[in-house]
Amino acid sequence: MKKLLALVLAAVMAFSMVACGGGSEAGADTEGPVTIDFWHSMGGATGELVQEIVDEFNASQDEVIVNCIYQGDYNAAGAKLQAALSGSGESAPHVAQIEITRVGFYAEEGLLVDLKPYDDADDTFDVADMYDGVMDFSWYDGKLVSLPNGRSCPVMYYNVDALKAAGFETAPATWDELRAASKAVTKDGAKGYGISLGDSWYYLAMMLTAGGQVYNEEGNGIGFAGEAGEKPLQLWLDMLADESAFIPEGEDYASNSALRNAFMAGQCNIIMQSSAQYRGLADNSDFEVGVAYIPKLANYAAIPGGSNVVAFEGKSEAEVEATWKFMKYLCSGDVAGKFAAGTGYLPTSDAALNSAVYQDKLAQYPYLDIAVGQLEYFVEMPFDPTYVEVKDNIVGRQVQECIINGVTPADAVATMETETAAMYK
Amino acid sequence: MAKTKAKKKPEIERVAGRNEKREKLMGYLMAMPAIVLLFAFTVYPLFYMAYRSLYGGSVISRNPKFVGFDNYKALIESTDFHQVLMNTAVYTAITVGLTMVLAIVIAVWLNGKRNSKLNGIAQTFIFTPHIISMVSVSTLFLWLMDSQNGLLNVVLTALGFEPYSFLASPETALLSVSLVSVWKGLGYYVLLIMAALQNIPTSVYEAAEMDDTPPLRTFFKITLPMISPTILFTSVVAVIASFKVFDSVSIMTGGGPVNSTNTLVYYIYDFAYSYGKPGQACAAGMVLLLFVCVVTYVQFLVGKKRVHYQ
Repeated sequence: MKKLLALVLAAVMAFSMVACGGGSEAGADTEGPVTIDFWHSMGGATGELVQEIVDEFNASQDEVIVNCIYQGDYNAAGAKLQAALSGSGESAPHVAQIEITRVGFYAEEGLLVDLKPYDDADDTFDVADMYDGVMDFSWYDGKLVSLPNGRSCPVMYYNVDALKAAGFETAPATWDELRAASKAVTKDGAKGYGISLGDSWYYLAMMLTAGGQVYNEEGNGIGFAGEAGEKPLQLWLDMLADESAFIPEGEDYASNSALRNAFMAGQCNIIMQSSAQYRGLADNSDFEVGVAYIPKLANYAAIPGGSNVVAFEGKSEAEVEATWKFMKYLCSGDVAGKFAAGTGYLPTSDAALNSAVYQDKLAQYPYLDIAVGQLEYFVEMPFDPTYVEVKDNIVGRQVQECIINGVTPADAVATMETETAAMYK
Repeated sequence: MAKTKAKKKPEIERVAGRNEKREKLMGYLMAMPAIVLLFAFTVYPLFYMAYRSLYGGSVISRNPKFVGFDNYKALIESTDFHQVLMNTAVYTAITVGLTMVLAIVIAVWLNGKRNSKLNGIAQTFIFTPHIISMVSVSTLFLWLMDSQNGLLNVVLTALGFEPYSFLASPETALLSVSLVSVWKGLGYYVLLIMAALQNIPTSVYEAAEMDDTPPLRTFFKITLPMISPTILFTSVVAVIASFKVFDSVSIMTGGGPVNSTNTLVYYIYDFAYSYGKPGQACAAGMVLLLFVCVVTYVQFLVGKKRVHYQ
């Protein structure tokens, strides 16, 4: 009996120790290096590259030690971050990657450190060196709340060998050419074009090239009501009707990886995916992987995506100092260049683009900098906490209603318009 | 003298009383960890959920605004939520219905005296899925049910059937997810029902045999009534488990395509963490609580009339 009691008590004690052990232990007054936590959303080979960069940072100096922790894709990491930030927020990391459209969500609550004073005081780093295109989610209310890291945009990938065999020497640049090329390479069980239906990012990318905008000028509704919104849906319906396109299964990021698997397996020859996937696709396909701009109907356009890094409030001054050191390291030319070269993420500054490691890889992978050219077509995005629900639950849903459930493009876009407007009432 | 006599209890009684008190205290002490955990992880969250459902803001909001019953109003007005409720009901009906019927049939078969060696093997195979994590099972079936490369469709087309869309179409996705749950959960329920079957006294069957009762009649008039308490218990547990389905939906479909597999708990997760509306998520949680209470109550009402306790 006594043994049992002791066991129960021990279990309770162990439990309470675990429950209370989540707090940050890095003291501000202690001598020696400051330890900070870094949460990121880069899985697989990209995750290993992130770990390598962190290891190099840790080895390069002896003031800061960074704990690099992978927290799942943007959705899963977002959930964990919110859980950590609820209540006292003590278990929150010092620095984290956040999918760009969600930066506003945290900034609105005042949870992000204003990095402007650190940038101003720092002679070795200037945020003004970053490309304008990747700074769109950095300034909130005059505060510098995030820095670009892991920024991307959708591009078109195509099987160069298959398209050449069908007589297409260059990538399709317009929607008509996309349709023609897709039809021509639909044979031997392979489809031409794979439609990314689970992730509304790709629908929005197509919509932009049809002349639409993500939001209207007042910022309280969609900017693609009518033709611009309907045209991509009609294109996809037409391509499905002539059987030159197919839809991979799954929602969100699962549908993207299904699409990439189909492409690498040669089951479809043209897909649209994040520029960040370039190295993964090129290294794992046994054919030449080409990259091109998203084909246009009216004009070229690119929708920004990917993640920024942010620092969280509620840490000691020494810890924030350490966090800044790490963040500027991530954004420095050589490191950002290395990260871009290893993945296909955008180099975020001229220093990154011109870094030796990036230029080196560019010689080896000629399509690596195609996405950089899209920077000049970057459109403005809403810096708005409501946007996530709009893009997933309204736009994404209606795209599926149209393509899978037989709702007409006009009705689908009309529903997007009314439901989004209702969110801002 | 008389005073002290009246005050003082006999020695034996006093010691017994002290022991009783001590035992009671000990009992409470022993139960304390369980009670504390119950309060911390069940009772408190329940009340907090009710409280939070009246507030706006996100999970990370420091001062969420009081919004009264706005979150409930939003749920009532949302056609998505109606579909989510319908999905959950359909999923529960398919999963619980199929599981219970199959579990009873298989349990009766396995309980038979014939082919005991084969039965042992079959029992192991049927029970095994229960001990595998739902995440692994979902990942496995995601691959098996892939409409392009999945093994199931390869087999179907090889046998000359049309390929089935499984998770790709809104018409079939919910059924596919339900079937996976049935496959995984079946063994557990078979085991429980077999235990009940083995508790039926053989004398009842012997009496039936002497009267030359046909097997079907024996099944419906003896076996089913005798195991009815277990059937009630297992169906209550199965219904509650179905209401709470999350991992298979999260991994296999993400609620799609077109919301067709979005169920109550997945909806709650989405609203709390993806869309930053924990108030609405908590309101949906209260609806879930209400549903589970009502359904369980109804099941017990039915049980009172139909279930025969020995």
